[in-house]
Amino acid sequence: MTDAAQERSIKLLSSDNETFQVPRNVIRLSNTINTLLQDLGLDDEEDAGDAIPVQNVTSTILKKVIAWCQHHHEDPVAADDSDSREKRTDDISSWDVEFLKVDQGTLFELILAANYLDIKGLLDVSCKTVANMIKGKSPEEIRRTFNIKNDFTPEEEEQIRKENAWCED
Amino acid sequence: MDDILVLQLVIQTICWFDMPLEIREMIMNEMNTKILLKLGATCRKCQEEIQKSKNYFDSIVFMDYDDDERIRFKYWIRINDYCMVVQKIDENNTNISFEEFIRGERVEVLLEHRNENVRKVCLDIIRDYLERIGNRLREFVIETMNSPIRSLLLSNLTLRNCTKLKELRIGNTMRQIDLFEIGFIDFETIKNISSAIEIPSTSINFNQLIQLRARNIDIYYMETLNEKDVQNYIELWMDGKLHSNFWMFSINTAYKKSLMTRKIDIDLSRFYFRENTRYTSRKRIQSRVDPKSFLEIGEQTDIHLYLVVKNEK
Repeated sequence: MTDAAQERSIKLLSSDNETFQVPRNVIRLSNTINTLLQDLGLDDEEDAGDAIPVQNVTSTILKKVIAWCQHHHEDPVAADDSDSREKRTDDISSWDVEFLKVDQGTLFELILAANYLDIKGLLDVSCKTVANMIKGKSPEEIRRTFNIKNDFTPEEEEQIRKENAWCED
Repeated sequence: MDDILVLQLVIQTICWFDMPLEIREMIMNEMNTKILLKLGATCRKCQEEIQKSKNYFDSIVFMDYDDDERIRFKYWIRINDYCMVVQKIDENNTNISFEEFIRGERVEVLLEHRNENVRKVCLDIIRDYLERIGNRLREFVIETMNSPIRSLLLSNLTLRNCTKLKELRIGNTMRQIDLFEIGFIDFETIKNISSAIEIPSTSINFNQLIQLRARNIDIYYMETLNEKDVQNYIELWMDGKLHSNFWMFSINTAYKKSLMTRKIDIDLSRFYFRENTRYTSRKRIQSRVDPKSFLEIGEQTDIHLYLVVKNEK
């Protein structure tokens, strides 16, 4: 992508028909949009033309996604070491922690949007946030948090409790 | 007021299963074992999904076999933060204790966890396991997939009990010569063990190889480290100077490329090839294949390719 292309903006159209003007170098964090622009030959175009429909994302969520990209667009590109990295959920930046202090529905919608738009950083950090919502909770608390119905018999539950005794905090 | 609060809770809380499975898996992928176990304790579906998760079970696998060589059951040991849970996976998916598990007579162990701490825990488990059960085992097989694990094994593991086994097989990347060096096993012991010896070409010279042959050792495994050594070994074999059953394998990409580009001038039609996958390693199927097939296999870098040289004379 040329410097000129970096400086340009593109338009995104949310599922509820709201248009967002986004700098190209901000939305570059979305692999889906990148690929789309490249495939359509619009990557170096002065005017990318009509707004790109982001059908699965509402304006509320798209606004959040763009805000996240705006904050992170100058971050160095992380190496893809998903197979070798140690699993950690305590490495979320303070900005992201604040950013993701949203209700559960919004958080899940953000995950879906990050997945659809293929924004790896946002997807990672939002999934970690959900993982953290489970951390330190008892199974009953997790059920309440995520509306999960307990279908174990008391005997099964006792057996599981014994097996999992080692992982009690 | 109460109505408003209730309404707010309904809006803010959505069901875990409202999310697509793909997303649930991504979230689970961010969880360590402790968190996963907590989630799995909430309902059957969660438990099933977690148990199917590759992420959850890629730690260590013990396999036990019945008399007909069928896998009787597998144990997936879930390890995290120096703790472990053992679960028997069988038709009924029944949990049994580790004590029950180690009554097995023949066990295969695979070590490939990405986390070094976990690998160290695996070693502790194996060491403990062998101290308690080693003498009763008919066979103990260790498969490791990469050199850091191998180094860990070699520097940590004491398998002396295993010398009394009827058969000891060291997995494909264990370097037997290293076992000599650390005093784990000697040539006499090897003579009594009917299976494999792996010889890294950088650690043993041809005279030593001939000596091994004189000791009537059936099979040699060689980890091919460079093209020149490979060619030398092949020439020795072609000249009949090696034992009649000279087996060689390579997972060395450069060597495979050499073969593929025919820098090494050998008759590929005299070669046997076998492909090893982790769970079929006990019953490796040897088949004679067209050299073209090898070239095709050789292009796949994600499988462990065995090149087996077998003298038919």
